[in-house]
Amino acid sequence: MPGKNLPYRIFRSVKRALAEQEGVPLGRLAVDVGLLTQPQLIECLMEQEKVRATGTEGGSEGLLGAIMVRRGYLTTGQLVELLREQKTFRPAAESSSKLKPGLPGRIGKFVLQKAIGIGGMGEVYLAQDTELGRKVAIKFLRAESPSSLKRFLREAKMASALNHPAIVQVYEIGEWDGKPFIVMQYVDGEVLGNRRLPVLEAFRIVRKIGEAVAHAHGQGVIHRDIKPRNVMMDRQGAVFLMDFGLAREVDSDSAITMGGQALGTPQYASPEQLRGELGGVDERTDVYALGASLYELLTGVPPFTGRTMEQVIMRALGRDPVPLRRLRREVPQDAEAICLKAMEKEKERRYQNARELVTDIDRFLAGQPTLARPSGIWTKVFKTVRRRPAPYVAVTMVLLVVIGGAFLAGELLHRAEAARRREDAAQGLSGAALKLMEAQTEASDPNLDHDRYREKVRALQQQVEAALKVLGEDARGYYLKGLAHSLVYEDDEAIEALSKALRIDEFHGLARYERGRMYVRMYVAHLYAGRDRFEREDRARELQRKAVEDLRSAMRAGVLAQDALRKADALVLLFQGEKEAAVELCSREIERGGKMAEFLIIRSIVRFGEKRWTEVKEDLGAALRENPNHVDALFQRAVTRSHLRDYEGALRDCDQVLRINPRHVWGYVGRGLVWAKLGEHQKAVDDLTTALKLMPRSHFAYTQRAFSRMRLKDLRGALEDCEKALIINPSSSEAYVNRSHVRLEQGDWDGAVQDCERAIEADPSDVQAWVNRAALRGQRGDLQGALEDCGEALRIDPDCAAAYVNRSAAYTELRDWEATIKDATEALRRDSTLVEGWLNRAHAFYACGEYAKALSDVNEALRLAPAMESRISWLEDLRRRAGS
Amino acid sequence: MSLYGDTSMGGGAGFFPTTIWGRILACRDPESPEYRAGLQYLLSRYWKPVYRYVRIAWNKPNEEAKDLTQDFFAEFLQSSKMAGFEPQGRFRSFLKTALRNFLVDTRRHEVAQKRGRGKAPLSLNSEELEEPPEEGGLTPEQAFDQEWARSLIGEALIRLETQLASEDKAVYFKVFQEMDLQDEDKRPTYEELAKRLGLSMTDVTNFLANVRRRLRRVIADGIREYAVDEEEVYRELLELLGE
Repeated sequence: MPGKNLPYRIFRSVKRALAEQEGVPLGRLAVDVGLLTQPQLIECLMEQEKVRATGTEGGSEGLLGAIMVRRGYLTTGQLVELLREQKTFRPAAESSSKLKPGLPGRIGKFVLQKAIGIGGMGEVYLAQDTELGRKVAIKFLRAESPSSLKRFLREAKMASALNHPAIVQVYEIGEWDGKPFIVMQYVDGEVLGNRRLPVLEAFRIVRKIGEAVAHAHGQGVIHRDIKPRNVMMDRQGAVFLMDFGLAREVDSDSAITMGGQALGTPQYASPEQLRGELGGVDERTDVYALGASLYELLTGVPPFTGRTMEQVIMRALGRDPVPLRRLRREVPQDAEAICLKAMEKEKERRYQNARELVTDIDRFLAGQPTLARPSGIWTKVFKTVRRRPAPYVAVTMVLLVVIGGAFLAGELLHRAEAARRREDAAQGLSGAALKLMEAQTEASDPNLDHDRYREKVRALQQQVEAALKVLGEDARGYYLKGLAHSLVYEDDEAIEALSKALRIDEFHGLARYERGRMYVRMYVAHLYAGRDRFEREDRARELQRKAVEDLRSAMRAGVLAQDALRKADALVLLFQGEKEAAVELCSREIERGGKMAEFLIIRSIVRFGEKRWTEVKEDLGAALRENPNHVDALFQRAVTRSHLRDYEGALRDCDQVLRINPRHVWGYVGRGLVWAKLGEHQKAVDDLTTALKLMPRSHFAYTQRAFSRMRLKDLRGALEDCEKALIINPSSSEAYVNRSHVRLEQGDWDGAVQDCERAIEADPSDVQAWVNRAALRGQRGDLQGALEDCGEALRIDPDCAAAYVNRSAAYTELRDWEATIKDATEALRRDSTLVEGWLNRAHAFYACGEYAKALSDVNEALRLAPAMESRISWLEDLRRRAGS
Repeated sequence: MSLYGDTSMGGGAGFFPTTIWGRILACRDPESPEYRAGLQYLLSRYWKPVYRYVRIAWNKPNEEAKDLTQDFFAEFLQSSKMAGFEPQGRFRSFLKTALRNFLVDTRRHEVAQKRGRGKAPLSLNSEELEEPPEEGGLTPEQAFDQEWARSLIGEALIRLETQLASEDKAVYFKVFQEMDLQDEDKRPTYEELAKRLGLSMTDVTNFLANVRRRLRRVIADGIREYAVDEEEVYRELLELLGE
């Protein structure tokens, strides 16, 4: 009977059967390739269980896949891909997870853990170095022939001499039971095979590898088998070249590679390798392979393919690869030229070494002319003629005769001209693209000259627009236009351009991502400016929904870099209300170090909602240390500081926001609010007026301006602002509250009460409305009503100083001195600038005969508001009594 | 005599109504009876995982590993160390951390102090300590997790068999046993099995799917005893069913 001592084999077999039934392998694969996160997979599994429990789809296999599609994590196409992948790789995965029989579980200080790959020369295992407490990779030699043994050891010797951040480091060479092995750096990541990357990402990687190869060349080592599958990328995006398995010292005339074996991998091997010219292999052989790898990273396929090895070799020797730009249109011509120059069949025509290739890539990335010019039609004809002379010369001659006709020539010239203009425009676009990427990086420079930066980005934006005039409907062009707008904080224009890009190409992943981020930015600005009330508005939900939609399709498009993916993931979690999961993800990223500003900001959004101001301020401060020009973070910190009553700090942050982006509406609104807090109402009005010029439909700005105008005794202006705010948003409780203020100033007590009641009706959680009605009721002697209203206000916000003051005033009227002193003290503890608080308490102390205390409170009040002096009827008496 | 009751799980044991771990977390007072009872129950299910951890981490021979395992549990329940321990998060991680600390401490004291402090040993059959097939390469943590998975599944199998028998569905279990609890080379085809048991082919496949699904649920119930929430149940399940 099976049971508590379930045999291990059977345990595994049951486990596998269950896993398959649950779709676990498929789900894991989906997580591994980054289509969904582990929490999302768990969600799907939970849903699967629910569906099964209802019995509707009880027995269906592949239910999990269907759920993942239904939830929008995968497209049907991706599901099919995954299923195919799973079929192909399942047996391999099973066998590779076990250790090969005959290998020990432990060699010296190394505990072997699992097989992680099979390289050209041997098997690789993950192991733990128990002494140094680090993970290592151990590679055992597969073939035991003396020649391969020799080669193996040579490899180890050479590779251990190489020390470069982009080369997998060799730690040790050892022997176990007659089998030699190499202990090397363990890279937690994956190889780059069969993948199509964003153009700049592909160039970044090949550039890094090129540098590593140049370093190896400098040490006299040629790799001879560079290919994407020999490049690993870790989770931080760092790349490592590995497997110097076929390398050979440049100067040695060694025989170990002469065994006639096919060296290199045919898809990436240079013609001289394929022809078996072993003596002809040199640095330029690696240059060829770098070019071939670049080709694959750009197109997703190797430059030469075929059903058999022979076919591949014949094609690689005799043909040009399929033009890169036919497989991927958006690759700039210069980029294609670099790739082709590296892959020239004749060594002499390639870059002469890896350094030269790296330098040309740098030129390309900087938007400068490259060594590798696009090869014109004549070069192509010439190349073909050179390769297969006779028939082509004849054809070319015939062609020349035919196009001799003048009419045809005119037509051709016209077309050529149009084609050339489009070509130029496309080039212009590529140049602008690279400069915009640079500008993106530059944006976090602490010494940035913001005015010049804006000018520069605007110039690039014009360059893009000029290109768009020639190219017409070009998704990439509109994407770049949107990007440029977003860099100078023109949110609406950015969204418009990005939407246009997405109308042309709805699968443009980068445009989706950027637009999603714009929605996030707008949401955050509203959230912080409008405080918690905004969250309940339809506008907030709409922005959330749009952001989630865009970010999700961007994630699915597969063009995002790893950190962008995680960022998008966190935002999606946040906006779907899974705040804890979002915070967890962010905290993990923050602990990991590296670029973490965005994650700090996402975390601070959640904590802002929880009113954890100090933590929010710290997170934002850390984010700003990484990028001092992050406008959103600066603005968020300004608002947070104002919650912490650090008004000076808030002003500084707002000033900085407006220096970076003089059109930041919320920066003006925020600064206006801070000025009002500091009693500088004229400055508040000025800032709010500027904000209203930029955003004429902001009821919020009108409401706030009304308040400051009222304080400046501009009652008509204040009333007007309230009316405007109410036209724009008839259910703005704040506008009603402020109008009630104004009405009271005008002596319209009933109107004022009515407005408070409207405000309460519009938003029963508006503390200010309760506080104000309390004051109004108190004025007319309805002290019980006033006490109730204050109680309600304090129930909503137990920290509301104004409610305490008003209640203390009511208690004063009721001659309850003890309660008066208690409430006034509570109020002053929260806000020591409340004149009424000092006065109410002074009055109570005076009534209780504590004249010294009363006088001290009065003096405090008069220091804040000297004009009050004439309004305190008992002041004379108090001074006399306190004096005696 | 045994401190922790039988290490065998036995069939038909009643389920705890709410999660035990949740209750331990909630009561937080290591001296309270509820805390100790809950912890004791949970620990009783981790004998083998702990034992294998100790063996691999320390490369200890059988008997000594048994002693150490014993010591660990005794200390876990009796030591005042537990008072300073803030149990948070998953029980399994919590236990592993405690185990790591225990081993470090013991190693430190081992030289100075002879062990064997007169604790009552657990009664164990030798068959319970049967060695896993040599597959090498497992870290102590992995061995621990593997043992945990094995005991959860093993226990669930016993429960499920009892349940099915009481529902007159013993034949369901039989089908499952012949297909999934069998070495791969001895496994019959659906057709053979149908013939042998006098069932139709569809019955065979339906029964099999049914039992697998129920087994999955019984395992999930086992996890629920200590999981903090439903999400953790699935997270654990995912780990358990992974390679």
